[in-house]
Amino acid sequence: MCKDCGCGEHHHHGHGEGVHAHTGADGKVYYHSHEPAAREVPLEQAILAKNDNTAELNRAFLRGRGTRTFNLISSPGSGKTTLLTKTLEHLKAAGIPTAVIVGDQYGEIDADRMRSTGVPVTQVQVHDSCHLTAQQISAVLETAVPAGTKILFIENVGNLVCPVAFDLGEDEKIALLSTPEGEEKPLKYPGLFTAAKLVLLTKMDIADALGWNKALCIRNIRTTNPEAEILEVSSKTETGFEAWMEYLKHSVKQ
Amino acid sequence: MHELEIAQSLLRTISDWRDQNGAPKVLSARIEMGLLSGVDPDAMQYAWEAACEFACGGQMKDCKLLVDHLPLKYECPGCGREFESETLISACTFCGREYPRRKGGRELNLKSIEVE
Repeated sequence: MCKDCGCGEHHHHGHGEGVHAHTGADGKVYYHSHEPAAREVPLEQAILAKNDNTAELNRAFLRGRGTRTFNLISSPGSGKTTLLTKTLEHLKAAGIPTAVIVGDQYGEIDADRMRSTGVPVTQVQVHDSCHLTAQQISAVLETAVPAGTKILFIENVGNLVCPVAFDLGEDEKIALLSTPEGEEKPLKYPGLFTAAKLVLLTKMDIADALGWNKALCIRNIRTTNPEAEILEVSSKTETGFEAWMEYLKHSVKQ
Repeated sequence: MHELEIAQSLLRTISDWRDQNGAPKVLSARIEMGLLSGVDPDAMQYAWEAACEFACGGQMKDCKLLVDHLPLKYECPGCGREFESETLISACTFCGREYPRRKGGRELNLKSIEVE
């Protein structure tokens, strides 16, 4: 018997028919619906949990090796590869074993530039993606980071937005902001600048010619991230490299 | 445009849950997003629809994505007040002290799904 209208008929209708009518035994017309009730199922978890879990494994592996890992993120053209090439030379001279993993959409151009220093460099091609993932790092980790490596630089794909959401297993993110990019990027793309432990202001050698406003730029970084360290460097003239090398050496000792 | 990858990751989680729970129809998925999550809401909706179109043999088509936008939370070391803001701020709303401490902002979580 139909429990809604008591019509005594066994009637068939599929779900999704919506509201429909029956005439009950008392002659009245009853309306009812066979729409199934929706229920809410809590599934509390990070959307990128899979990436995050792999990143934790990467971190455990690297820390187990005594390797300090920096994830370098910036716009294309802000000077990541040039900075790294110079930095690798300095670290080599200082006797600090270093390795690099570099992500680009295609090719080995960046890797070839850095290989000239003799430091092991592994190129990861991400194809149509705009960032590296923890999985991609995990796949190359054992060969890319020889035992005894003290510092691993991961040069992310040049992109100010997408790489920030994907933890790779690094100890810290370093943001590069070059003077030709102006002063306002920290406010326009706060995701990276809030996540970075260090902001490297690059291409300082041309700041004056650009009329770049240092006080404004630093204020904008501070607004997004009051605790970030800020260093000014020029890879061309090596201005500021002393402080940058000190930063790296200090973090290795930790 | 990493929103497609985020949509696919979300879809995989829901698809796995469906497989283990009798494959009911999923009407909607509710997520929460911090202001600093780096996810563009419009791109996310677009990516979600594209990812759902043919997922689970067409069973996920029309599954709605409901987004809760979380405000930023601040705590001022000067006056001790805790407050929320829809934008990044460089001074406390109450006492004007520079650079109040921000908490969170990068949330990107699946909260729940609504199933038949």
